[in-house]
Order: sequence, then structure tokens, then C-alpha cells
Amino acid sequence: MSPSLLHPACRLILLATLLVSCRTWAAELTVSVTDSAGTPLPDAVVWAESTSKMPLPPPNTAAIEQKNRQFLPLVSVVQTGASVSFPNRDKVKHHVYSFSPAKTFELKLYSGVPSTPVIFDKAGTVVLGCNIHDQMLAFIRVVDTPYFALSDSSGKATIIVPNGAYTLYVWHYAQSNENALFEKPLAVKADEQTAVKLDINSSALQKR
Amino acid sequence: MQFKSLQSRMAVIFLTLILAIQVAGFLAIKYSINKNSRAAVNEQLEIGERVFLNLLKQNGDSLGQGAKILASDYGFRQAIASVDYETILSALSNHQSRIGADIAMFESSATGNLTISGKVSHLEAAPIVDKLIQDGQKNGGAQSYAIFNHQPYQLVAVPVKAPLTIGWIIMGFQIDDTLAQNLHKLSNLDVTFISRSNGSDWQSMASTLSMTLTEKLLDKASTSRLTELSMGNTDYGTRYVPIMEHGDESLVAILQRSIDEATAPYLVLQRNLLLLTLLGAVVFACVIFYVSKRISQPITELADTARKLEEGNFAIPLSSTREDELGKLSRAFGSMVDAIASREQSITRLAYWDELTGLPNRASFLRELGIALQQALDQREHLAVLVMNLNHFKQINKVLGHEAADDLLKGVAQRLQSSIRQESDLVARLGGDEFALLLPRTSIDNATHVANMLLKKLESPIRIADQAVDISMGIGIACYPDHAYSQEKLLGNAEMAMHVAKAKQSGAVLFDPAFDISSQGNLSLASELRQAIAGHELALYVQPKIDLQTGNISAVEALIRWRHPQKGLMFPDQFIPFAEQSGLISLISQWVLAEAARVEVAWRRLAIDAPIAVNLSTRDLIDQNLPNKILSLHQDAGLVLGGITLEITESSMMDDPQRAQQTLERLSDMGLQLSIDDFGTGYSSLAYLKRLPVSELKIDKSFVLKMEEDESDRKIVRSTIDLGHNLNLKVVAEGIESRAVWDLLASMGCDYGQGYHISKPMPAADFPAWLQHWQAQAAA
Repeated sequence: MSPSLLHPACRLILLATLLVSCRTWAAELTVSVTDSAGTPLPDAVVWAESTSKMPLPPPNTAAIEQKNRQFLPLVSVVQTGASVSFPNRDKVKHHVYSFSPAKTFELKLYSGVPSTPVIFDKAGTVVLGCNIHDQMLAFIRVVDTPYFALSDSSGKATIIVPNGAYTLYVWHYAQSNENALFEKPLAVKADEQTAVKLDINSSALQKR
Repeated sequence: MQFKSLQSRMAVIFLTLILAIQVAGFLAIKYSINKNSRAAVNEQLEIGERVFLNLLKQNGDSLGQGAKILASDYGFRQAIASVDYETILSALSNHQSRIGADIAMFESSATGNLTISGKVSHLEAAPIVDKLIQDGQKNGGAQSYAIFNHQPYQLVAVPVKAPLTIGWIIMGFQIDDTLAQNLHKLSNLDVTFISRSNGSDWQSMASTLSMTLTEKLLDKASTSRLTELSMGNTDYGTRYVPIMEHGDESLVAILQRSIDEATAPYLVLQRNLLLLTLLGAVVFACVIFYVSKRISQPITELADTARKLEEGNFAIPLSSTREDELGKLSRAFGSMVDAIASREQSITRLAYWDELTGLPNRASFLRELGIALQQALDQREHLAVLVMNLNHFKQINKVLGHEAADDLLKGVAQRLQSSIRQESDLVARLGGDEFALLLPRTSIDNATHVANMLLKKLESPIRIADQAVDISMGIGIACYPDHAYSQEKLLGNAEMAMHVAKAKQSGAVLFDPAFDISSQGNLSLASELRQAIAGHELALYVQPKIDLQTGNISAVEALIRWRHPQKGLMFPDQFIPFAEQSGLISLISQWVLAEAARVEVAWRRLAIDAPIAVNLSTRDLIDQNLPNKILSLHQDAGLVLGGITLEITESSMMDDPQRAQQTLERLSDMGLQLSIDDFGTGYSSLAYLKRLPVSELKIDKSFVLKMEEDESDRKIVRSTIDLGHNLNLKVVAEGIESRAVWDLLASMGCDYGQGYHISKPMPAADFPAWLQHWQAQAAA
């Protein structure tokens, strides 16, 4: 998942932060996610939460398209409070819903872009479905931090965080225990490489 | 058991055959039905199993469909999301009744909470449900069976997705009588579900069988898994379909089909077949009986016919209208019978009838005689047999030819036939020129009368080929019970008498036991005769022969008498025929010749010049040695030739004229004078007579005796005399009994004569005295 999908405002803040703080107080955190067999795992959500309570920057926005009766992207990660729009690129209508405790909502049969985006104001996993097309599935991880990334096809995710104490979290939708979270305290002083192995239920992996 | 008749044997063979075929067929069909019905039952069970499994699958599918519909219901999912268990339960029970499931459950993935709609406790359901969900997680759904509260259920688990799995819906049907009945309706099989849990005994869950049969099935199925069970007098093809087998819980469906029921339609077929078989056997038996009867009856008839034929009964109708082989056989048999009959008829004719004359033959005569004898014996009647033989037939045959002789025989036969009592008498031809006459109820006197009558009838000549032929015959008469008792003997005696008659030329002769040389009496007669010859019981008699012109004695004819010690003086006709038959005649002839020679010699000494004429018999004439014997006789007696002359009867020469002529010629050459005796009674031809070396012929006394009254006899005598003279023969007349005849003969020119008027035969010793007396008379 490329960072280009990030909201332009978010990128500006990130840039400003980078510019404000010199290289010495910002570090690049690279996480390599694999399954237990060592196979690189894309679509893993990696985020770092500062141990010290800090005020969060304004949330970013995201869009999850419905195209060819599929949600795109499969996995999205947003900061708490982010608004996500669900533009329908198909000719058929969709009925997007979520029964997830983090965000229960439904967008009843619609075409095009719904007028109001959905605000995800609670951290957690939101599983998206379409009431008409049972096979349509998408995940949104709502996190309470601006430092998050998705692992790419090589299983690598890179977060740039200021030096400090963090808790590193890794989640993947296909984990054997779908609610399990990889959790690791991390004191970031310089660039850091971390490898994370997850217990994956391969049958749950979405082939696209 | 033996079947002797063709009919029963055929019937038995064919019946046995048809029964064997029928029985074999019946058994084969029975075996086949049994095998087929079992195979059919097996097949039905197999199909039943498939139907059953299909039914289960369909049930499972419909359960799954129902569950899926519920699982995809948005409201239901919303209720799950909102953890609203009341709503979840009501949705479950609503959906349960909608699809007719017996049980519906939901387990939340998030909380693990189990909501149950149905008669199942959490405790029982939880482990089953967990296991089902475990299976279902792998395959996206699962089917299973379970026993809740001793009731088996078919269960289906379906995930509820939103869109990830948020819980599982489990729905189930109870496996009960309804299912069993459904299956029964579909497959016509009996279905029983048995189950066992926690090591308990097998129990019946549901069944289409009756309670008692179910109990029995449980008993049997608990111990073994036989594919054929006998329950309540019925055999069941049985198939076990295990439905569930995990841990100590088992569920088995038992499918059954009554073999008897499956066989039932075949049994009807089999019964019909049996009926047909029996009917066929009965029809076949009738047909076989009819056919074999049709075949064997004509054969039996033919056999009966053959038996009748054997008995000589030819009057059998044998005209079959059948066209087949038996008809041909019958007709062939019929024509054979006809052929045999006609052949037997002709054989009979040949055997019993004389072809030439149409008269019965000897065999036939003997047969009839036998019958007549039996009748005579029964009725105490008399019976006579006459045997007739034509005189001189050989000559007639020779002179006139065979055809004429045959015609003559026919003529004689006709004449005899017309002379008898048609209703009772029987004429037969015994052979050659010999005839026989059977006269039932006829005494000796009557028989003699008939014989004389016949002789008279035959006196008139018979015309053959424009020629009148004179015939005469010798007749022998034998009577029952006077002369014999058996037919052969009677006929033999009559024949014997006939021979005597012919020898004596005396017409009819009544049988005398003396004729029978073979009889006891005649055997002694023969020895007596020998005795007589040797013992001087025979006596030589002489009858003078005079010169009819001068009355001088010219010669004497030698005659013989037998001075029998007991019977007294016997005349030649009493023993000469017997002597001729027995061969003693030659001895007698010898004796007569010797005695004549002796007497002649004695007379010569007395200066009596009277040659003695000796009669020779037929037998003497065929004796080639006779001339020598006579010669030596003369020498022995010291007699010159001429002292003895010989007389031969016409008939004695006729038996073998050639030989007789030779003998006579030799005798004549020796210088012996020969005379023909009894001239006129035989049939010697003049040509033959002319050749004979005789110097004298003697006219038979039968012509002379009546010549005084009978003109024709006179003519015969006259012409005979002329004939004799013309042949240069002296003529002698026999049977002169009066002076008138003497004179008559003398006037006719007859040379010599003899007879009672001159002298009866006298002992030779008396002759010299008689001669003296005669000469004295003549002188006076």
C-alpha cells in the first residue's frame, strides 16, 4: 500500500515535522512482517503508539472504492476520527455495512459517491461487507496514532517517528486469532529495523 | 414293473420323458426365480441405499439451504451484531418452523454463546456443536449426525458471515418414523434405524416394521450383520447402512426387503407354470395314449390276424384305409393272407384233388374215408370201399397215346361219378388207372351189387377221339367192419382184392383175409403152402381137350388142387392169387411142371398120347431162366419135348410184353408148343399177336358159354376162329357145356374144345381110366 494514498494534509504535517525536527530527533522504523514460515506478508498494519500521552494531529481521510465488486484497497489504516468515503465505481449498487464494534454502519444501496463520508472515531478493526455481494470484504484498522504503515509486497513497512518511547503494534487480518495484536515496546533513538512473525491462517488470506 | 405291450412302453417312455423335462424345467425356473428374486431384492436394497443416502443428502441440503438463508439475513446478522439473544432465538425458531427443522441453534463466534431452539439441552448440544463448527471452519459448512436424548438427528452447520464469520447456525432434522416412512414410500423398503451410544445396547429409533418384527430385528442385528434375516416366517434381504460412527456412538439404517414378497409375483407365475405343466402332462398323456393306441392297435390286430392265420382261418377282413406305414403293413399283410390263402387252396387242390379227372385224390379219399369211418363207428353202420383198376391200361396208353389215355381216364371218372349216390358216395382217383369208391352205409351184399352194377356200366365202350374203346376193370371190395377198421387197412384190403380180381379176371372180388400175405393168417398160409409143395399136398388135376371134329382126346390142361389137411380140397382161386402175390407161384409152377412131366412120362409108358398143357403165370414169363429150367426138367424126367405144352394168358404177357416175347421165343425155339389162354379178354394187338411164336389160341369161355343164345358172342367166336386160322393157329374153345355148342363150334371149324360137357377136371391118376371110358364111349 503506497503512502500516496495518505491525505495531502497529513503529508504536509509529516513534512513539517520532519523539517522542524532535525534528523537527529527523527528515526526511520522499518518492520519486516513475515508469517511463521518466514514468507513476507503484505497488508500487515504496523503502527507505533507513543507511551507519553500527546495530542494527536487532525485525522486524515481515506477512500475505499468499490470496483468490480471488490473493495479497494483490501486493508486501510486510518487515525481515529478519520473520515472515509466509499465511492462506488461499479454500475451496480452496493450496500456497504459493518457490524464491527469499532464502527457499526451501513450505506444502503447507493451509486456513485455518498454525500457524507463515514467517520471512524473509535480505534479497532472494522470489517466491511456488502449486503448484496457476499464476497466483498475489506478491513479498516482504526489506530490512535499518526505513525502507521502497511507492509508492501516484500512485507516491509516503514514508519518515521520522532525519537521516543513507543509501543509497536502489528496486525494482520488473516491471523489465526483475528483479534490478536503483535505488541512490542520500542525506544526509538535512531533508525531501527524490526522483524515480526505472525501466526497466519493461510485460508483466510484474500487472493486478489 | 415290466411293460410288455408296445403301447404301454411307448406311453411310459414318452410320459417319463415329458415329466422329466417338465420337472427339470420347473426346477430350473424355481432356481432361477429364487436366484433372480434374491438378486432383485439385493438390487432393490442397493437402489434403496442410494435413495436413502440421496434422501439424507437432500435433507441435509435443504437444511443447509434453510440455514444459509437465515445466515444471510441482514436483520439476523444485525441481531447477532447487537448481541440480541432474544431476537436471535426468535429468528431461529421462526426459521426452524419455516423449513420444518426439528432443531435450530446459533453459536456466536465472538462470545461463544449458544442459542438453542428445540428439545436439546446445552449440555448435550455443546460438544456436538463445537465439533461441527470445527469441521465447518475447514470446509465452510458441515453435516453430521448426532444423538440427543436418545433421538438421532441429522445436523447441518452453516457460518454466519458479516462478511467474516461471526457465528454458526446449526439446524437439524430428527431421524424418525417420518423419514422411515418417506423412504419406505420412495423405495418400498422396510427401514429401521438403530443406534447405540455410550456402549449401551442397540436400540431402535424408528422403523416401518411392526413392533414385534423390530424386536426380532434388533436381536439379530445386535449380534451379526447377516444379509439375509429370517423374521416371523419371512426372509428379508437386509442391508446395513452405517450413518454415523464416532466414538461410542453409532447410528445404522437397516434397509430390508421381504424376499417372499419379492418372490410373490414369481410364485403366481410358478403356480401358473405348474398348472400348465400338469395340464400339459395330462394332455400329453392323452395324446400319447391315443397315438400309441393308434399305432399299437393295428399291430395287435395284425398279431391276432396272424394267430388266426396260424389256425388256418383265412376269412379275415384286412382292409385298412390308413395312409401311413401301418396302413401299408396292414394292406401288405392282407395281400399276404390272400396269397397264402390262394396258395393253400391250390396246395390243397394239389394235395386232395386230381388235376386230370377233377376227382379227389388218394389223400383226400383217405381223409374222407377216415371221417366216414368215424361216422360209421359212431352210428354202428357198415361201410364199403371199392378199388377199381382198369384192365390193360398200359396197352391202351401205348396204342392210343397219352392224351387219349387221359381222356379215357376222364371218361371213366365221369362214368363212375355218374353212377354213384351223389349225396353220400365218393369217387376218387388213387393214381394211374386206379379209382376208389367210398360207399357209406353199405353192407357187403350191397357193395357187391354196386360193384357189379359198375362193371355193367363200364361195359359200354367209351368214345375217345371218334374211337369207341372197350374197357373193363378189376374191382376189389373191402368192408367195414368186416375186413378192417382203419382207413389205410380198408383201402389196402380193397386194393388187394382188386389185384386178385384182376389176376383172376373175375370182375369184382370181395376181400378175403387170405389175400393178405402180410396178415398173420397169410403168413401161416405161406408156410402151409410151402409145406404143401414139399409135402405132396398139392395134386395135379387134368381136364381133357378134344378134337371137335373127331372127338378124340388131343391133350389135357393141367390144373392144380390143394388137399389141405384141415380145410380139405382147395381150388386154385383160393390160393393162386396169394401165391402170385407172395412169389410162391414160381415154386408152384415148378411143381406143376415137374408133376406134369412125371405124369406124362407115366402116360407115355401106358401109351397114352396126351400132351399136358401147363399154365404159366406172369412171374414165370419174366423169369429168364425158365427155358433152362423146363429143359432140365424134361431131361430129369426123361421126357421128350412135346410132351408138355405151355399156356399163357393174354394179360400175363401184357405186364412186360418184350420180355415175355423173348421168353416165349426161346421156349418156342426149344420146340415147346405155346397156347394163348383166355383169348379175347385182353387187349393184345393183332400185330403183337402175330409176332408171338404161338401155335394155338384158346377162346375164353365167357364167349362160348352163351354163344347158343347170343348172336354177338357167336360172331366173336366165329371171327376169332377165322382169325386164328388165318394166323395159322389152332383154335381151342373153352367152356363147352353142351353138345349143341360142340356142334356149333365144330361147324364153325373150331379145332379143339374143352368143358364140363366133355369132362370136369380130374386127378391125373384118374385120367387113364377116364380115357378108356371115353374111347369106349366114342367107339360106341
